[in-house]
Amino acid sequence: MTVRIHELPDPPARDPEGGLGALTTEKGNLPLDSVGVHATITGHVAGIDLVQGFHNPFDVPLEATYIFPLPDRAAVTALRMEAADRVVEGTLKERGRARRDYDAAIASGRRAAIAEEDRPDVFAMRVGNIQPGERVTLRLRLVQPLSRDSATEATFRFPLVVAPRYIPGVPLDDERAGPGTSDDTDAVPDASRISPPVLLPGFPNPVRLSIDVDIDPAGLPLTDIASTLHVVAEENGRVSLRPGERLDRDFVLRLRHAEHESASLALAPDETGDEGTFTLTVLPSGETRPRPRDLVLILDRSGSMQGWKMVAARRAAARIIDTLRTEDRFTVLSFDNVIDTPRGLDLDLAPGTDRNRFRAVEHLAGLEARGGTEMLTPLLKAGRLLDDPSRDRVLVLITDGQIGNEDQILARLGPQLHDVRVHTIGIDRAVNAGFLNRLAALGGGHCELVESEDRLDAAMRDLHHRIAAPIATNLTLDAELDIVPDSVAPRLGALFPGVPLVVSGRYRGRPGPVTLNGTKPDGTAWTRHAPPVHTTDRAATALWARAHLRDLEDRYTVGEDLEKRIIDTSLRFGVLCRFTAFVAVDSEVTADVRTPHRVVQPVERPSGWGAPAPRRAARPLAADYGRTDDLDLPDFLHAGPPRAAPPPAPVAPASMPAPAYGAAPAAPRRAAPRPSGTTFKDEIARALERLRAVPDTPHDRRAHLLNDLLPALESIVRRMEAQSQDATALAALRDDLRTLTTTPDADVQALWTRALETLADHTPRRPFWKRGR
Amino acid sequence: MDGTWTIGELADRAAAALAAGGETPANGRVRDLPNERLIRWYTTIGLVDPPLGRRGRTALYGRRHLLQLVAVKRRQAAGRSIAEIQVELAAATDESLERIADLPTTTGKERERFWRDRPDISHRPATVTGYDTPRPPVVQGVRLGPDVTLLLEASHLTDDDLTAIASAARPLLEELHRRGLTRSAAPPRRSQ
Repeated sequence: MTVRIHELPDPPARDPEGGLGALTTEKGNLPLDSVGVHATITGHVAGIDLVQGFHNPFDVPLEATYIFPLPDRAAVTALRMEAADRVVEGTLKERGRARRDYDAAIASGRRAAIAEEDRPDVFAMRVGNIQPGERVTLRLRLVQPLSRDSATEATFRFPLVVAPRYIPGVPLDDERAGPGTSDDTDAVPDASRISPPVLLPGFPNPVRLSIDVDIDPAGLPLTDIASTLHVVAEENGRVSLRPGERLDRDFVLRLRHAEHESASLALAPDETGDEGTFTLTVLPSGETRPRPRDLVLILDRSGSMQGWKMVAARRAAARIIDTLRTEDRFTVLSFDNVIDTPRGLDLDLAPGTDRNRFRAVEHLAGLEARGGTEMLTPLLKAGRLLDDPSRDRVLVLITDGQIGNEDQILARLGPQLHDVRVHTIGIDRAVNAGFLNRLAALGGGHCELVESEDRLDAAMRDLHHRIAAPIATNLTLDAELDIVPDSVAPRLGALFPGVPLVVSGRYRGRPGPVTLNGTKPDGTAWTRHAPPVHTTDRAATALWARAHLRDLEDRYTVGEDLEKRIIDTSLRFGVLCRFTAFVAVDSEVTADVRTPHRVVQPVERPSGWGAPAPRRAARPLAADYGRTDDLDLPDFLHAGPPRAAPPPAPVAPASMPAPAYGAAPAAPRRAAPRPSGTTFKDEIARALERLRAVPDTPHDRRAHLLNDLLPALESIVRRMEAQSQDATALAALRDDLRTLTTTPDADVQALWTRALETLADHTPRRPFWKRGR
Repeated sequence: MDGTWTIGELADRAAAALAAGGETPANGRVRDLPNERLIRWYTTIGLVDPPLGRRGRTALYGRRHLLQLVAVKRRQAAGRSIAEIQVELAAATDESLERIADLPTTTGKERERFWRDRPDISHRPATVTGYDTPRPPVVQGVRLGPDVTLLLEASHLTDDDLTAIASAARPLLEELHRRGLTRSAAPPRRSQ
């Protein structure tokens, strides 16, 4: 077999500051010294060992935190810690318990590590009590499905850096949830967990990166490979990374292979029990005659889109506008902190006439990157514009997705998007794939990721087909197979020409065929039949569990009460999620009992980011940009320190208001002060403390509920309602406690648990990974 | 010394510690004195830890932050670039920060053991100069840009006044810049 390797185009030349002549690279202060990715691709599944090496260059015990990305669809199935010839296997536990175990281990002087998920594609590794001079190696075991771009193309994408994200909202006054650089806000209550410090350009590179990918050609005859990083092909289908690359972009490997059959159903029975996992793959083909449609194109022109990304975004948008016909209606919303529209297209959707399309393209040509990424407003506006259920409604979002308030957007948008199809086009070398995939899945659409202008050319050939009319909608599974109810993931959306559909689920009992049914645009039926094939693929169950957990997590975000089910599923199938964590604790006590030195590993600046904006001649500022400073480009993207204190600075020692990057500047615009809930929170926290101190006997608990908690609740609820604060849950608890007085044999234990949960939900210490209200 | 400070107090303490050290920055740039914006930037690049916590809307800082800030400034005064400083100081331990920052022992603990101080007993006769001569009139200045200053005879300026002056001066500064009458760049633009 011969495999050609194309190197995708280089990023612009390295920053001229690169390479500090004066300093020889001594052993740096930073704890992370190596990252290794070892992947084996079999068919359309990659098994990955991720190895993170930490060392302690200090003369005191160290706790290192590394905020790192993983592929958003990857299932993390194991953690192992190796230090000083000791090997400790991690255990998957409920997240709160895992965090307590970790803290206790550190406090007692033992080595420990914990891996947590903060976004589907952003994770945090903490490893503590590394002894001076010691090395600790953490191994994560992952399985990841390749993304199927077409019948003949598949992509292996492994992200290497968490890019800086725009954090909207007002700072919270709670304790910080994590050690990162952004403040937690009401819109992003865990911003401090996803914002690692960023290295300046040209930092002497201390992290050794190695990637090797073994491609098993047995299942998939390969014809072509392309990669974003410099790779060398070796024999036996192995591809390795040239040494010296930085962790500053996604590693993308595109594999082209011969075409497969059009529908397949793989059944992987469990080793024990009569259940199993099925995976259904359908490769739809054919053209459809498009129906008239309403289209809103949303274009992110925020500061982080600076450079090639803005150019690519404009081209993608123009291409989509080109495909519109007179019977379609459309508009374009370009946004940063404010929304702009082409002239003449600003009030409502306009017909796709020559003149309107020209106006839209003209508008695009004038766009430059600037300002913040206030993404929710344009999405909600698009939802309002797309309100005619008789038409095909399509929303296309073009962005790098570098925002932190994914949950807020999905929770607000979810209920609004009935039957609106959402397509996302992600443009970045370190794209927020997790968010863009979630949004597209929510809207039953397609997500296309583009990491270079060349890739854009390739993607554009097919893109307009994919975001045109679907081949079939209203998909349902009709099976002789006994499918476990509500286990199919991802949720069935629509079939688009050339976009493979892969769904998986759980079945019981005997194998049988599955039929996928749908409706064509003209109303006639569409069917595809798949006979079962047995496999012993162990990865299938983990991949299904991950897809299913992500579905459940998205539904949790929108408001369903699924926490227990998510935790149970995660623990049963051994796959990490937002509500669980892998924790590994060494039994050996190695450190004095004292707080270790804490370090957060700073990360690379993403490739292609941050050519500083050219200084343009002064020009009166739009009112919206007056004194606010809503850059979503952090200052480190400029070569030097930020502008000095803004002139005019008074001679007298009086300080001008100094706006800050990130969360703070948003405050003046949404001036609504936080409700004065702090005192209630404190009262509830005290009631919770008293509750926890009561001895564990039904008698004591009953007495406490009636004599202490009930009067306290009566008072708190009355006063909260008087201030029109939301006290629904507390009032419900109060009413149930009242019934306790009249029913002597009531279930005290259940009420007790409920009281604990309800009160805990109302105190400031609600775990940051749980939904805000 | 123990306790927490707002970001403004942290900047003041750092400035005081640097002044007490008696060093003038090698490059003499006054704007390199720590200010709030600079501290936030240092946080994003890992030179200063994020705040300890918040009291209401106010972020709180502690001694490690002061050490970090002063250490950065000491290195800058020695002519190091910020990139070189990041290599050395990101993630540094308290011990090495203490060594580099070399805080004057009095910082924040002014006169803790005041009972050991002896009075100055050198006696000089009082000299009177300028008695009866009229004092020169005092005017106030507001710095509009690095090389543009507005002189006023008003005796007192409130924050409001300053804000109003700042926004009224913007067109003037732009005009001066257009004409090349001021070396500095135009007022900071916030449009990117």
